[in-house]
Amino acid sequence: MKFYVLSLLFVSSVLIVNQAQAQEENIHDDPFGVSDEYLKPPMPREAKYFKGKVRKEKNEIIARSLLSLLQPINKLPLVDHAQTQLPHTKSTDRVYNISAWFPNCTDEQWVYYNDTSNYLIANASHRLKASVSEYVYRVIKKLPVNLKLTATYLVVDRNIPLTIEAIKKSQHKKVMSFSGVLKSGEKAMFGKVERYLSAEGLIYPGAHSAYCSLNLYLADELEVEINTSLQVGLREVVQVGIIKGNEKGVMILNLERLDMNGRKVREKRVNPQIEISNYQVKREVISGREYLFWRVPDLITLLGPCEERLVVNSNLGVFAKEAIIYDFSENLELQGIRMRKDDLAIYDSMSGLLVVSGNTSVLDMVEEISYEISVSYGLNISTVTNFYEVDAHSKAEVGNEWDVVSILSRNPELLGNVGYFLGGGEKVRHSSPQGSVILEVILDESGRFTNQVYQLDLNFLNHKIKSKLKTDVEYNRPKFIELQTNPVTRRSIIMMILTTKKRIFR
Amino acid sequence: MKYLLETVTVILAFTVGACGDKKEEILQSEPVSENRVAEQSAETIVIINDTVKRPAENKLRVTASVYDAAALPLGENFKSTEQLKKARKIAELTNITLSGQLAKIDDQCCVFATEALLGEDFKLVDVAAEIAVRDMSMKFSTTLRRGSSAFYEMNQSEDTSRMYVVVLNVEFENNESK
Repeated sequence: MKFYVLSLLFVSSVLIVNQAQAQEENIHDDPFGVSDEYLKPPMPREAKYFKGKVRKEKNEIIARSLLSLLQPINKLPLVDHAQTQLPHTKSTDRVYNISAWFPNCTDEQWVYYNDTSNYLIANASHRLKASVSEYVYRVIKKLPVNLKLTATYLVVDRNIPLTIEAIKKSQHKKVMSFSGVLKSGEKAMFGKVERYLSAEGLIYPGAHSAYCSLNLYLADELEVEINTSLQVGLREVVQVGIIKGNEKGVMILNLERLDMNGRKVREKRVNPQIEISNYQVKREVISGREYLFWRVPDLITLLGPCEERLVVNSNLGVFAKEAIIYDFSENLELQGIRMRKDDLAIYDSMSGLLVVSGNTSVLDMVEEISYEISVSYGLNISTVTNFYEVDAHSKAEVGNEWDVVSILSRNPELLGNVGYFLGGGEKVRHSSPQGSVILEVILDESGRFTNQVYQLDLNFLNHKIKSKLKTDVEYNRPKFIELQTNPVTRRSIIMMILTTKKRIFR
Repeated sequence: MKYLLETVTVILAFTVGACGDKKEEILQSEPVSENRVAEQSAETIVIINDTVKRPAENKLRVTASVYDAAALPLGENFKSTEQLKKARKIAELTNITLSGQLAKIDDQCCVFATEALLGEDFKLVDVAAEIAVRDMSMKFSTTLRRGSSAFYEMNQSEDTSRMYVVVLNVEFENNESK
C-alpha cells in the first residue's frame, strides 16, 4: 500500500513539474517571431581577461563622447554631482547613474551619463574600461548614419585629365551641381520636372560605402544614370554622358559620412603594430610559433552574427592600446575550423586585424576563408566608348582586326563619345540630343573581362549609328568594333571601348 | 481508506504548491536578456521626474533658411553658416507642429511641407521635407540632432555660378523641454 501511495505521489509530481516547464516554454515560444536583436539598443558586455591572464586592477576616470544611449533614461537615478567635479560637466547638467548596466562595475567603480553634455563618464578599472569602450563603440555604430552626397556635372575638353585640379584649371562648363544629406533607402529629389537630379542611397553595414542610384535629367539636353557603389571619403571623377565632338561629360561624386550634429565623421582606425594592408594575409613565425595575420574591416559583420566575447586588451603586442578585442575562437569554430585549447584567435575591431595561432591546418583553413571574403566586395566599372569614322579596310585587309595603329593611320575623325559609370551587373541609360544608349555590364568569373551589352541609337554630326551588340572586353585594354559603313562617305564607323575597374570596400 | 485518501490529497496539495514555486523559480532563474536588465533597473529605481512628456506630445519648430549664394570653388560645398555671411537670405520658412504630424505652407511664394518625428531619446529627429522657392525645389529625408543643422545646395538653373543653399534646423518650440 505504502508503495502504491509513494508511486502515485511520484508520478503526480513528475506530471506537475512537466506541466510547469511546458508552460514556461510556451511563454517564450513565438512561432512567428523574428529575432529582434538588431532592434534592441546595445547594452554593455562583460569583459574578461584573455585565457585567465589577470592584470592588477587600477581605477581611473575616463570620459567618452556619446550623443545618445539610444534608449530612454529619464527614469534612471540622477547623480548629485554638486560636490564632485566630473569632467565635461557643469553644475546644471543632468547626469544619470547607469552603473547597474555594466557587469564589470563593482566595488568603488561607477558609470554615469551626462545627458546635457553627452558624455559617458566612468571611474573604471581595466575590465570596466574595456567594457565601457566597447559599449560606446557599438552604440556609435548603431546611431543613425547620414551620408552627404555631392554631385557636379560638367562638360570639359576631352583631353583634360579626370582630376579636380586639372578640371579647375581648364575651361569647363558647369551644368548641374547639388549637395545634400541623404537618408538610407529614401529618395531625394532636387529640381523640378523638366530639370532635376534624383538620388537614392542604400548604406551598407558599417557605413563605409553606399549603393547610389543617380538620375540627372535636363529636358532636351541630357539624361545620365549612375547605378553603383560609392566609397565614403573617396572622390570619384568619371566620364559619363553622351557628348559630341571634342568634349566629354564629367561627373564628380563625393560621399561623406556625417554625425547627427552634421559634422563630418573621420573614421577612427587605429593602426596595429604589424605592417599589413586591408585584405592582406601574412604568416609569420614568432618565438617558434606560427601566426596568421589577416586584416579585414568589419569581419564580425562579414562572418555573420555570433556572440562576441570581449576581452581586455592585455597588451598582446600587435594591437594598439585603444584596440577593442574579442576572443574569436568561437566564430572560427562556427566556420568549421576546430580550435584546440592552446590555439589563439583574437580580433581587433578598431584596426580590423585578426590574429590566429594554431597548427598548420587551422591557419590554412583561415587563409581559405580569406580568399572567399576578398572577392565579396564590389567593383565599380568605368567605361568610355569613342566613335570614329576612318577609311575603310581595303579588299585585301577585309577581316583584319582594328587596333590603335590601324585607326590612327586611316584619317580618323572623332564623332563623339559616351562615358558610363556603374557597378557590375547593373544597367544604365544615357540620352541627349545625340541619341540614346543603354549599357549592361556583367562581370566575368575570371576577373579579367566584362561582358557588355550595348543598345546604340546615336546621331553624331549626321552620322547615324544604330546597333545592338554584345562583347567581352578586357580591363585596361582598348577594344575596337566595326559597327557599320557610312553610306555617304563609304568610310567605316568604329567604336573603341576602354574599361577600367575599381574595388569598392564595403 | 478515507484516512488514506485524505493523506494523499494533502500530500498532493503540498506537491502542487511546491511545483508552483518551482515554476516561478524556473522563470526567474532563466538567463536575463540585456534589455530586461535595463528594465529591471529602471523599475526598481526611484522616479525623480514624474512629469516627462512622451515624444509625440512635443511641439517641434522646423526651419528652412534659403540663401542665394555665390558658388564655391569646385570640390567644396557649404558646411557652416559662416560661409553664408555674404549670401543673401531669400526666405525663412517655419513649420510648428507636433512630433509625427504633417505641416505645410503653400502659397504663391513658396511651399514648405515637413514631417518631423522626435526619437525616444528626445535628441534625434527624423525629418522629411519638401521645399520650393522661386525656381528651386527640393524633397529629401534626414535624421539630425535637435538643434543642429543640415545643409543642402543646388545651383540655380539660370546661372550655375550661383547656388541656392538651404539650412534645415529642428528644435523644440519655445524651448519646451522633455
